[in-house]
Amino acid sequence: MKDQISEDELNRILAQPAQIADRGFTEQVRTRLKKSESKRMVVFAAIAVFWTALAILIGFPEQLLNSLSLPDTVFEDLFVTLIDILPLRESLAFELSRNSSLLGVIFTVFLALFIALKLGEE
Amino acid sequence: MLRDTSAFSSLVAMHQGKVRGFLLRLTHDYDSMNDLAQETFITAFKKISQFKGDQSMAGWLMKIAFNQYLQSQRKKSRQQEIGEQLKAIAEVHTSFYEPVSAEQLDLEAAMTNLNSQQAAAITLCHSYGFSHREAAEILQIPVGTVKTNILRGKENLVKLLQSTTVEEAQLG
Repeated sequence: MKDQISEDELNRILAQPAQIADRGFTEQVRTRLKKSESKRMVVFAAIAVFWTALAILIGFPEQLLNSLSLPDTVFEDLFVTLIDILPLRESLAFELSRNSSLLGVIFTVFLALFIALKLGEE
Repeated sequence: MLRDTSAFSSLVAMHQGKVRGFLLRLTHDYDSMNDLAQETFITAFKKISQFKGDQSMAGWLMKIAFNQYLQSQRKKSRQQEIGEQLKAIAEVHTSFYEPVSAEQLDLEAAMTNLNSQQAAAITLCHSYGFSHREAAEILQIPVGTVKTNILRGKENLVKLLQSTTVEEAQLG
């Protein structure tokens, strides 16, 4: 039985390190990468939709509302609901236009989407 | 570029053994090692555009892995962790690896007694074949310090392995 380890022998042992077994590690990383990629795509798409809608709304507000071909009552109802929900002063509330209501809707949808994504991550 | 997850997964499969082996010698804990190794590859995937051809992919990954290890050490109370980790490693040591010899297991056990700088320098230069200069780049320390850490670490390993063989002889 040897009781002395030479430097050469130590170097030989060091040069043959024990190999770590994969045991599903590569698959775990692949899954995390795919998950993070799909999240990135959804967030990117959501932001793209938001900015596109915003650009259309700012650029062509009347055309957008007409193209939606929704009756004015929908926006009026929405407007009234928003006023009920939001703690706005009455005078300020009446300054809000129909376009502002639509902007509010788009923003709310975007916010809801963002919260849903955040909840999905957890 | 390797922005494709399938292509990157091949790269993970190719390098995971070395990255995880390196991190296991630093952390002495299988779960912590796996967490850090995953973070290493996720970080590498995000920063793949920063990889330059003037260094090896293995070296670049080792550098990210070492930085992940340093960050994790800053976050936790080290003394307490090491006490718990050494107990854990004695119980599950063989299950970490592909089939290993008793000699390799003795070495891995002895490595747990080195400090992280010595273990890192020895692993990079003697087990994975990096030059002293490459190891210095990965560990972000001077070449002279790498050499000193290797020298001191190997002295410690010789003592530790000798005591192991003496114990085995007495038991035998």
